[in-house]
Amino acid sequence: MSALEDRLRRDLRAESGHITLDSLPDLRLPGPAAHPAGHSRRAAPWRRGLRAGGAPLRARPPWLAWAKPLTAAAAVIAVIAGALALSHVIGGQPPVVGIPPDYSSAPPYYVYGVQGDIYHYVSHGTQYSFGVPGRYLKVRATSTGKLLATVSPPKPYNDFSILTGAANGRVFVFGAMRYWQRNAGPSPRLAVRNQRTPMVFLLLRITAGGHVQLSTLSLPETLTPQQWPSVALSPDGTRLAVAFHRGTSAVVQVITLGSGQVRTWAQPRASWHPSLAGQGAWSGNGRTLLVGEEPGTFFPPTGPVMRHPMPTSRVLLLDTNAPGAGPPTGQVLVLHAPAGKLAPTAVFLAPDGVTLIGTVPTDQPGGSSAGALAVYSARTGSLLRTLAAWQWPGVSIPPGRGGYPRPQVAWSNVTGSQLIVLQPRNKLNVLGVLSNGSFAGMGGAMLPGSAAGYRELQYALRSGFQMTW
Amino acid sequence: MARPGDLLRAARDDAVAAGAARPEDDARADASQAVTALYRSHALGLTRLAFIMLGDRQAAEDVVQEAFCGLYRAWNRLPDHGNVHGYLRVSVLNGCRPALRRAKRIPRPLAVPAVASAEAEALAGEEQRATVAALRRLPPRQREALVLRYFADLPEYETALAMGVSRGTVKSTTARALAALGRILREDQ
Repeated sequence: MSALEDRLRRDLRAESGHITLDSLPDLRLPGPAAHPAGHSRRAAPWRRGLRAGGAPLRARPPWLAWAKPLTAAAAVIAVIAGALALSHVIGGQPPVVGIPPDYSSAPPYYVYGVQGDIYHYVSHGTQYSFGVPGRYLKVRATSTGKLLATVSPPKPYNDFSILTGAANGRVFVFGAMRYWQRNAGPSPRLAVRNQRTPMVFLLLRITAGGHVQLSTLSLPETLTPQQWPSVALSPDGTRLAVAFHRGTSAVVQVITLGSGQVRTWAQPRASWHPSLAGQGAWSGNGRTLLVGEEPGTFFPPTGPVMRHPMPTSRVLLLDTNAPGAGPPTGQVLVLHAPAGKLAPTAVFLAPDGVTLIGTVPTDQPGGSSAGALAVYSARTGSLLRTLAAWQWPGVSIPPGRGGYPRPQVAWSNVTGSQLIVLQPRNKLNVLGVLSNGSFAGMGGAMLPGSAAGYRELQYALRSGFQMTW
Repeated sequence: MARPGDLLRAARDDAVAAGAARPEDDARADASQAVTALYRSHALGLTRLAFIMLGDRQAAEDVVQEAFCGLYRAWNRLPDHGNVHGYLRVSVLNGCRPALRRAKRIPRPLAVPAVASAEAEALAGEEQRATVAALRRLPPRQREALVLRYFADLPEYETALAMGVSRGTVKSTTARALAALGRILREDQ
């Protein structure tokens, strides 16, 4: 036995020693659909050259070519059936009965951030750790929950703070930043957000065959976290909108990913900060871009954005076919808060461009909060209706459960009549389908198949870190 | 995307599930009980094995869960329940391979933090970090051979079974891997 072999044996055991039996997740076996007594077209794993394990236990059927349309239809059924399965698991409401007609256009893949530690520190016998919400990202299939890829930020970056997906569900853009630690006097030391290190952006494409292609995306301007950038991919995934602050100017850029062509609109000495609400920022035809004008200032340039509750929100409907020069121009809408609520945030533009949907929260005494979704006319900005009211009783962060209320529209059908939303329910943020005013928790088929994956997704929803289609 | 076969089979089983209890239900309960017991006894070692291979705890847990789910699905078709541990080990290794292939395309940091405090560095042990970092720079098959031989402590013939290669290939792969590992460690000093 050589010294190297000894060292290898010792170090590998030490490396894995922190994994203990009581820290392992419970086994989560599949349901009846995968019952071992059922007939299977596939040979047992050991008869296929020991290719067991990670691969699913079904062969690729030869009739797949003609069955693709059937797949699409069946996927719709599976996802809706998932609503039935999950509603009781995460405390949702009674499920939707039947198949909502417009759900078929939901994108085939979704992405969410996974929390993770970036460093540990031991002081006086106490171990401290510091985690970030986007330590890495997971890409899963909407219809099956199957894990397609795990994406980590390139070193030394350690946190994905930005993600956006195209409506076609096959193109995603991620932005990563880095934290680093600093001495903050007495222990524990702090890991702080590095505001000045340029962010790095990655472009992820999923081919028709389900293969993942990841590449670095160079933006025309270097962006840092202190510029508060936000991004939104156009529905077809060919153009990327970027909103940020440059000095004292509010800047919106639309970049054509294939050619690198850039259109830039800049508002000097802006008293507002531009923000994009991911997929909800674009109209379905890829022409209109919804830019939120968040009240606040960047004066002095190094100062923070100052936000305060306002009775109204302002949004700009930017025609992206207009020449990219000068200040962003277009229709500005002032959205008034419904009675007793605050102004809408995270405003989502329905793909047909007719309505806007925002979340309208309100704070209540004792740390409780409540809210609803508010639907506005995209033509006049007038309030049309509110729906999906929610309440989050007690303190915002229940002990042992984590999270805070995070209502949000994640996806909309063409007309906005059917939405996938995050809805606070029973002190959890529940992912569900909102249709005809009724909410049903969804999941089931789209959930990760393992307990660990399920836990991650729940954490992502609880902690409010974005999930995107 | 879901394959039609998946969805059709799920629909059929759902329909059956709504009816009366079947003899297969007993078999399912037996399988569930047996696999759960196996999970309790083998999950720790297998998760550690997957973690060493992947350097990512969440991914390792996913792979192990998938392996046990695969065993559960195949339970009634297994010719020999005496060697389920070997079967699971192979399942875990096979589950790690796609993850490693993805990791080749996707930049992935080491399990240890990129920047650590002096105390944390001392705690983790520079030497240990260097060994693990060097291991993860090896090609997947060489890494697999070293992990099975020196972490799982498998003899050559069991390593060969787990990797699906001959004993001679295990010997040569292990030798090449050790040489490469030593070279990397020397270069990094």
